[in-house]
Amino acid sequence: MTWMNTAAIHDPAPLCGPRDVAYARRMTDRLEDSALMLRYRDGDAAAFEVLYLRHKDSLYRYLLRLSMNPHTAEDVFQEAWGKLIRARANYRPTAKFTTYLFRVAHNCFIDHVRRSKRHSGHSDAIPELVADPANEPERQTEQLLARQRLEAALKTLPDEQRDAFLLYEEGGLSVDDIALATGVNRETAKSRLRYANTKLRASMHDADAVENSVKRIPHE
Amino acid sequence: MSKTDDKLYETDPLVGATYRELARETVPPDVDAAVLTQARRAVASRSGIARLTGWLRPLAFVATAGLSLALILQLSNTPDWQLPDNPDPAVAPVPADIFQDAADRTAEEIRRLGQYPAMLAPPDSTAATAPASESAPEASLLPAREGCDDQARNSSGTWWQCIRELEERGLPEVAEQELQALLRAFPQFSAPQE
Repeated sequence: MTWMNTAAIHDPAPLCGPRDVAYARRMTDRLEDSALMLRYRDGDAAAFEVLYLRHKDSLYRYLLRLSMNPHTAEDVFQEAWGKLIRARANYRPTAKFTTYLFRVAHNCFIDHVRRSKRHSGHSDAIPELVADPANEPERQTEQLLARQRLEAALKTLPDEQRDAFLLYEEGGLSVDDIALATGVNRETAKSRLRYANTKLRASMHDADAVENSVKRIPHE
Repeated sequence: MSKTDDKLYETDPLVGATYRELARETVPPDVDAAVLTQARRAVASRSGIARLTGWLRPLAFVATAGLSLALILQLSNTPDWQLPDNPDPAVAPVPADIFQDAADRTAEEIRRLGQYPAMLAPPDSTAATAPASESAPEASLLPAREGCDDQARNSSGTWWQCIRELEERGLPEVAEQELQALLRAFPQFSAPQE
């Protein structure tokens, strides 16, 4: 924890008085996640809104790609935030907030899988990928193909490796944080992340090679 | 985790960049609303509970202070009250002169009257004539009877015999008092020559 974070945590000034909402919102925007969570623990609902806006989409995408099912992702997403809300009184900033948040989400997902026993990765459950209309048609097609390749490669990864990759990309967690969030030792987390990266890179490069060879055929 | 490990992982721009282009999903608005509503309700309910129970602590403080003040005032209004040196009544010291004074007064009364005072006299003559070892247990608590009893005073001979026993017991003053009483009761009595 940095000295700035410590100072923010011990700042007892009320954040959200009736007349200072706008000022408080600007101030909370600058606060670190742990300080916001501590303010929410002390009863400041506006601090939670800032915290939620910061991390909601990345957490949702993490759960979406982990479960490969939008409905499961939404259920686990709400369950994770609900657990965080209920446990706010016991929150201690001993680790990075994102590590704490993604660990809660990871555990909720594991519990959900154990409860339902119906978890399966159906690729058609994720919304269809669409090209960005702002780009040129040829560029749009390339982007779409690349995303589809990565999406397909992600689905072929083992759950643990996909989990590690998503925690790295969506949560921004380090290897140590991934180990903490998933409850494994550092070497295991590092190995999973390396294997995931290698497989994704290989599958994308292989696809590029096949695509380039196909493109070259008509010109020859 | 060293920074080098993370850097090694980050060196593949294709995977990361493609993923970031791929991953653009956002949380559905109804889920947003549900989570934020839950968060606000949790804080509001907590505030309500805190408001309801917030007065308990100051009330307890005021009650404690009031009781303490009342106790102090009560103690200060008792002027001669003081703690005993030894609070245990079983071992509390009793002034030694209390019993000594009572014993002196009793002895003086016996000396003055030549017999036990009425309040200390035995309830009947049998008890009075019985030896100390045979009398009631409480009789042993009384000072040993000195002088001659009524039976000894029936005749001058027995009375004189009693006076001699008093002298032999080392009670010359009592014997002298008994002798004076004998002479008053039997003016013609003359002590036999031994």
